Amino acid sequence: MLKKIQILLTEDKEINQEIFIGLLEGTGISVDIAVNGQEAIEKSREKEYSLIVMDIEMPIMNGYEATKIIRTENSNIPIIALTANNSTHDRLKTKQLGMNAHLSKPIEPKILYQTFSKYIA
Amino acid sequence: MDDTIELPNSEYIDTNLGLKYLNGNKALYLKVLNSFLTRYQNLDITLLNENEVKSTMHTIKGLSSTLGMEQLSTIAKALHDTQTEELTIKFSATLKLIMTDLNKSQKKSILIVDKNYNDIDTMVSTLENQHDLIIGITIEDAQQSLSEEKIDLVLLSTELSNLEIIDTLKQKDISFISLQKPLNMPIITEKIKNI
Repeated sequence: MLKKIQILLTEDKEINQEIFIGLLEGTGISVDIAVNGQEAIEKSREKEYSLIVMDIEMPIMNGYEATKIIRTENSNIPIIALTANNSTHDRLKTKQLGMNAHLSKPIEPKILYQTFSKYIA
Repeated sequence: MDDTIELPNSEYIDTNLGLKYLNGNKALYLKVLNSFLTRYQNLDITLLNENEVKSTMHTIKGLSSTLGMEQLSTIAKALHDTQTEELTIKFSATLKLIMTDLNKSQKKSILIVDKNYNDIDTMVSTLENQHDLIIGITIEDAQQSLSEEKIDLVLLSTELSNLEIIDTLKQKDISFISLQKPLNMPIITEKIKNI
């Protein structure tokens, strides 16, 4: 039997959540939402996700800070940056923090699907 | 079904690009465009402080690019990096033009007043994915709907039209299109778009 795939989307802007969920419609992946880094940490403690998608610029706690903490508690979970910050510096930073991939906004659907199939076990 | 969904027509929106980013899903694209309209329609960046402008531009940069609004995205990026009066004006003007075009293609609440079932079917199948439709097959039906619901536009069959309903529409300042028979749907949809 297929196990239901659950991922956590960390994104503070509703309209970006709408796009993301719309792109995953019909894929069988179900999406929980955290609206900032703090909430992402809390939700990742409560439930075992197949993957976490992390925006960077968010209020209360940004994606970098949240990733640092989640990584110390869970070294295996794939964390994927999804951000409009696309400079070499930004990419280097997400890598140094132990994020598995860096997707840029606008999201290329094909790259999103490829990345997910690579990291969802 | 997706074919009947009409995307907005604007020189500031490359709908092919936007569709590509939304995996060819027209319904999703239209839904997100509507959210964009609702969210940013009344945005006045001159009322925001420097940090608020920066974070708003950060969001709009990525979002507008996803929606195929390349010019707006470029200006948002520039304004995110450096806040000048010139860029502020440019941004507001471009956003306003996009919103005007989006508003034209907005979902409307349309009352169809006609007694011919075949014609009603034709109109419903052409318009139902784009608009909210209410049907009236008599003038009394129509009057009742007009008194109970918020209607943006009435499609009024010339066979049923009378002075009383035209008077009601004028009082309520609701636009109407007279339906000439046989129906010419391309002309009707074009008229609806321009209201």
